[in-house]
Parts: sequence; C-alpha cells; structure tokens
Amino acid sequence: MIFEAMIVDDEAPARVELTNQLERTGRVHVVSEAVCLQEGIAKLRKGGIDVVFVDHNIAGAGTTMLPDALPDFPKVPMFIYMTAYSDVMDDPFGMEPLGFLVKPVDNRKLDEIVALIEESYQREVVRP
Amino acid sequence: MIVLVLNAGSSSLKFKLLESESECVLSRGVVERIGSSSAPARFVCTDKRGAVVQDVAGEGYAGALEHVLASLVEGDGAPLASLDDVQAVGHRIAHGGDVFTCSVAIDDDVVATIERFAELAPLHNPPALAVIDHCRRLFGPSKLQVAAFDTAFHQTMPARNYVYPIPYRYYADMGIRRYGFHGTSHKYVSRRAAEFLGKSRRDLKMITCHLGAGASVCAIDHGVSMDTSMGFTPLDGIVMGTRSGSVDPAIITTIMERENLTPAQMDAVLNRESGMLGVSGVSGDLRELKEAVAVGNERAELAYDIFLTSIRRMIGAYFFELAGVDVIVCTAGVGENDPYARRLIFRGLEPFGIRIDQERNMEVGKADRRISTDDSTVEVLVVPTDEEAEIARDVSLIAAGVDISDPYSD
Repeated sequence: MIFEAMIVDDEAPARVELTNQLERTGRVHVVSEAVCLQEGIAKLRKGGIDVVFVDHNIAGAGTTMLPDALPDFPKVPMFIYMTAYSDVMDDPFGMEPLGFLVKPVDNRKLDEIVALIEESYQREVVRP
Repeated sequence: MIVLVLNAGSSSLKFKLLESESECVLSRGVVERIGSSSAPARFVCTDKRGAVVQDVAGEGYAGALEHVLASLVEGDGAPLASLDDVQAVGHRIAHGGDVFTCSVAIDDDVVATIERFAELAPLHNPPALAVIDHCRRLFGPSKLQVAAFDTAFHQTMPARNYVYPIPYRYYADMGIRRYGFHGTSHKYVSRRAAEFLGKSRRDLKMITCHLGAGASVCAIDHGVSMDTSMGFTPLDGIVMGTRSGSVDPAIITTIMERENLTPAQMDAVLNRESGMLGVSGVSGDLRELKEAVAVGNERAELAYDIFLTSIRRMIGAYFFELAGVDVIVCTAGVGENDPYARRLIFRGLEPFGIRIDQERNMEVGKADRRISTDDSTVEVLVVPTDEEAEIARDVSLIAAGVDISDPYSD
C-alpha cells in the first residue's frame, strides 16, 4: 500500500522539502498540495487522499472548518500536524491528529510517522 | 452584461464600456488634464465611430463623467441608445487597505471605508470617490456599482511578507505594511495563463511580471498572491519609468538633509524624477530610452540595464521563495511589446529550466502566447493584461449573486 498524501502549507519550500522526504520513504506519494485550509478542503472533497500533512499555523486555523467539512469528504483521511515548535501539541483543527512533526522534518521522525500511518491503516482495515 | 468601467486617476478619468462575458469593447477613452489651470480637460475616445478628441466644458471629475456618459448615447452610431442600457458600473479603486479582499458592491459603508484609506492613496482614492458619488446620483440607487481594488488580490500575503522590519507599532498603529498594487492585472493574467495551459490555477506556482510605466512582479502560489514587489505605496520594488523602486532608505534622509528638501519634495524626486528618467536624463519611456541607446547614449544604456537587472533580481527572489515555478507571465507595455527586453530578462537561465524560443519571442500580436521552448521546464508566457475586463468580470459575478469573497474558492 502506497498512501496518497496532501500537504497544506503556505511556504512553498517547506512543501517541496516534505514532498521529497515523503517520496524517499517509498510508502507515501504526494498527489496534492494546498496553500491554506480552504483550498485543502476543496481538494479533499474530490477524494483520493489517505493522509494530510497540515501546517499547524496555516491561514484559517482555529476555526471549525475542517470538522464542518468532514461530511463532504468521500473518506476521512488521517491527519499529521506540522509545527515549528516541539512543545506545540494542541489541536487547532479538531481533527485528532495521528501525530506531530516538527519542521524542518527529521527523516527518522518521518519514518516513525509513516509507520504510525501504516499501523493506523491496518487497524482500520481489520476493524470488524 | 453591459458594464461601464471607470478608472479615476490623479488628473484623468479613463473609461471602458464592455460586454463582460465576451470582453467585447463598445467604447473606450479618457478625459485628461482634469483640474488643470492652464488648459481645458480633453476627451479622447475610440469606438466604432472612430477616434474623437474634444475639449470638456464641465468642471472637475463630475464634468468629466458627464461628458463620458453623454458620449455613450449621443450622436450617430453611439454605442448605447440610453444610459439605462448600462447594466452596472465598475470603479477601479487604488487602495482598499487591509479591509477589502475582493471587489464589492458599493454602499454607504463601502464609501466610508474607501474614504478612510484616502490618506494612503491621496492622489487616487479622492477622485475615485468623487466619481462614485456622482455616478450614484446620476444612475440612482438601484444601479449596481462595484468597487474593484488594486490592493485586494494581495490580501492573501502571509504576514512574513507584508510586515516591514521596522518597529512593529508603525504597522499596528499606522497601517504601514506592504499592500501591493496592480492586483487586478496580476489576477487577470494568472487566470488567463492557467486557462492557456489548460490547467487549474490551484495546481500552479507562477511569477507574473506587470511591466508598464508602473511595474511590479508578483509571486502567485496556487492562484493566490504570496508576495509582490510594490509595497506600502506603488513606489517600492523594481525600477520604473520615473519611480525609483527600492533604494537604500538612508539615501532618502541623506538627500533631504543635504538639499534641505521637504517630504513632498523628496516624494516628487522619488516618484517623478527617478527611475529610468532619473538615471538616463532622457526619458522614462522605454521606447524613447531605447532610441537613445541606439545612438550610443551611455546613461540611457545604464538606465535600461538597471531596469532589466531589477526585474531579474525580483524574479530570482520569487523563484526561490516559491521553491521553483511552473509559469512566468509577462504583461503590460514592456512585457507585451518588447521582445528585446524579454530576451535579456530571461537569458542564461537554462540551468533553472527557463528556455526561451527566440522566434516565438519575436512574434507580435495581442493573443496570449508561449515564448518558451517546448522542452522548457518553466512555461514563459506573454498574456496581454486587461484590468477593465477583470473588473467587468467581478461586476457580472456580483450581479449574478456569486460570492467572490473567498480567494481560495474557484
């Protein structure tokens, strides 16, 4: 299983860097990008996304936009929050993230997160 | 939908009457020298009746507007039978501050807010307000009137790009921040460029270069403005005809001290005596500058070099800011019509995936076109701008009840 990912971040260099790191794992393929939550939601409505890497400080944060939009998504993806600070672990989008990554992302941490994504997916698949 | 677009400048009123869906122009022109004490205002107009030049009898912007409206309905072959055929009016407004993120239908609150930003655009917002006021009286309250702001498109910029590195209180208390201008043009050409390529703006990283008498460059990420070269005022950024663009700020205080200049005098030096005119001593018009270059005028050549270098520097900055781009667009006078300038701006950039096809670059025309080679990683396009068409488009969307307030919705 190769997971299809979206990156939501208004810093283009950060998106490119994370894309390269995710592609390196061979287990996650970045198929979509967005510069803000609104654009991300619009693209999630089209479906096909397994996991979303979203910047913790992205424009539009602190609202209930994402939970409100959930019923529109063909499937609810897993969420990973990206932060610039290691002590930030809150949930501004109300999406109960699978995990946090501190930017710039350490490859080892990314491998752990990808392992988490796989575990979570397996749990969902075997759930009766 | 028949839309009249009005653009009040510091001493002029431009107008374009067009059909918004087809972008077909029914009449266009300008009233110049408004408020001049030495000569009467002059009306210049072109439509299917040909070109017309007339003196304007009326006073100020109200007189200019009345002359324009009369020209649309009077005489043989007038484009309209009655002013009732004007279905809506769009007004180009220079400054919408940090309030207006898109075009809006004009009401009393909108007028009051534009008035509030008059001090940020003292030469442009007050004339536009005078024209709006007179239009509302002439057309009555039921006619849709829309304000389109030069600054609105850039309201998506992140704070890291609009807060200046000076004491924060100047931003917080006085609104001194980057606003950016030419937004209507950058938005129009970015949309047209995506259409030309058959792609969604939401999947593209672009740099748009509006290179006219005023010039600015914009970094557009997924269809929204991320950064732009003009700043608090249209003086910032790349070198222009008579405007300096960015200079070491200490130069300004040094000159003011040594020549004992007032702020207004210094403002005139930077806005009207600098740029390519200031360096060359010849002209701020690139065509005249190139004629001087052709006969060996070294300062004209230096001015031209400084201009092109400042554009390359800005494109390079945004190329890195966006971590590479998919499309670069050239527009406005120089961008659309000067293949020599385009050649020099993009030369030697093959290592960055930018490869110009010199034959395509030399082609002349008004159509959107590609000037990069088929194997260029970055698409380089020439897209003629049409700010009035973009304003008319917004007007027709608002008339149709479409919510255009979310810059991220498509």
